Amino acid sequence: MMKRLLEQTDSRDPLISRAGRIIGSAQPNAPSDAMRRRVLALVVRERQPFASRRGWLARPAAIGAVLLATTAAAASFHSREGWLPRAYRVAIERVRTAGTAVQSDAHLAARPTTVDEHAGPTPAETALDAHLEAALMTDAEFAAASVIAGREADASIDLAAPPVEARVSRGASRAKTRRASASATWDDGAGTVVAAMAMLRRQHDAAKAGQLIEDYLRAHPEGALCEEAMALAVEAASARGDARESRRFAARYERVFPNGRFREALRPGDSH
Amino acid sequence: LPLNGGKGPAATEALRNGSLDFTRVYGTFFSHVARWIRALGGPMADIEDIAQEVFLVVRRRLPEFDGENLVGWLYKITRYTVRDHRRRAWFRHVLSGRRDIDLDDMPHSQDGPAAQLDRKEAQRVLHEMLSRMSDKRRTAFVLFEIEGYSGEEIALMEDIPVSTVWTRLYHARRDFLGLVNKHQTREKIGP
Repeated sequence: MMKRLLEQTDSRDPLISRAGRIIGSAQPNAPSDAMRRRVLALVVRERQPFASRRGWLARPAAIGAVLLATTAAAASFHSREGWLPRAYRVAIERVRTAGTAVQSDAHLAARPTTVDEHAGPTPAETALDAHLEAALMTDAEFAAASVIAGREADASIDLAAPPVEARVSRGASRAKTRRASASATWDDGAGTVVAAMAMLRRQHDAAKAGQLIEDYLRAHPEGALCEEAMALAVEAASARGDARESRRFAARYERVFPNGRFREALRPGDSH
Repeated sequence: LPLNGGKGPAATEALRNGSLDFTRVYGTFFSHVARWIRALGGPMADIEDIAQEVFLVVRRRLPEFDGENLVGWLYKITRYTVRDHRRRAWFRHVLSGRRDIDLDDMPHSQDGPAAQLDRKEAQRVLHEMLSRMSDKRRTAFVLFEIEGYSGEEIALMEDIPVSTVWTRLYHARRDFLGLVNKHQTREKIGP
C-alpha cells in the first residue's frame, strides 16, 4: 500500500517532506452547494455553458463585421473615392455628358456671333466661353496650369467638372482632389478642349491651342464638344494668322455641322 | 450509489428498477466529476462550465448506459469533455473572454495576506511541476495524492487494472520528486 506524500511532510527525507508540503498547498477540490445548484439548474433547463452558448456564433460574427468595416474604411480612405461614389460618379458623368449638349443648345442657339481676334472677345467667343466654362469652370485653371507645366497628358485625363457632380459634391476642393486622382476611364476629352480654350484666351498661345484642338478632334472625332472644338480651331488658326487653315476648319465645320450654332460666326468672310 | 458501488450488479440493478435517474446520478457524482475535471487538467475557472457540459451529456446519454461501470462511464465522459474543452480553450477564450475569478475561490477572511501569498506561490509551483508530467501519470498522481482516491477507485474510474494504477503512480511520483529536486536546486542557486 503506497503512502501519500501529503502524509509524509515530517519525513526524514527532505525531498519527500518538501514534496508533501507542496502538495499540501492544493486542497482537494470540493465544489460548493451553490455551484452544485447552479449547474443543476442549467442542466435541467438544457442550456449550454456560457462560453459555448454565445461565443461561437455571436463573437466571430461581430469580429468579422468589425474587420470588414475596417477594411472597407481603409480601402475607401486609400483610394479617396469610396465604393458607392464611384458608381455614382460614372452615372453622373453619363448624365452630364448628355446634359452638356442640351444645355449648350438651349443658351447658345439664339446667339449668332463673329470671330475677331483683335477686338477682344467676340460674341461667339463669349458664347463659347460661357458654354464651356459653365460646364467646366472649376477645372479650367487647373487645366491651363497643367498644360503650361507641359503635362498635357495629365490635363486631358479627366478635368471635366460636371455641373451635376459639382452640386452633389460637398466641397469644390474635395471634388477637385477626387477628379484629379480619378482614372481616365470615363474621360471624354473635354479637358483638352478646356485646356485649348484657356491656352487661346488666357495664355494667347494659339499654336499650342491649335495643337490641343487637333489632338482632341483626332481622339474624339464624334465627341460631345466636337462642334466647339472646331469653332476653337477656326479661332486659333485666325489668331495664328493662318487664313488658309482657318478657312479649311470653317469649311469642315460647315460640312459637319451645316446647321451649327457657330455657322454664322465662322463664315470665311467673317474670320481673318 | 457510492463510488465503489457504481460498477456491476448495483448499478445494473439500479438501472433496471428505474432508480438510476439523472437527479440521483447528479447528486451522487457531481463532486466527483468536479474533482476529476481538475485532475484531468481542466482550468479551475472553467470547472463549472465543464461540469455543466458533462452532465448535459450524461442526461442525454443516460438511457443508453449499459449499467456495467457507471463510474468509468462518467469518468470517460468527463475525460472527453475536458479534452475537448482544452483543445478549444485558447480559441474560445480569445473570442469570448475569460472569467478569471472563481466565485468559490474567493479569499477567506481568516487567512492573512502572507499566508495567502505562500499558498498561492506553492500552488503555482505545484501546477508548474504537474504541467511537466505526462497526462496519464499526472492524472493518476492528482487523483491519488491530491483528491485522495484510492488505487482501486482510480482503477475503477479509468477502467484499468489496479497494478497499472500503481505503476503509473510509481513513475509519476518519481517524476514529481525529480521536479521538486530541480526546484530546490534552483532555489539554492538563486535567480
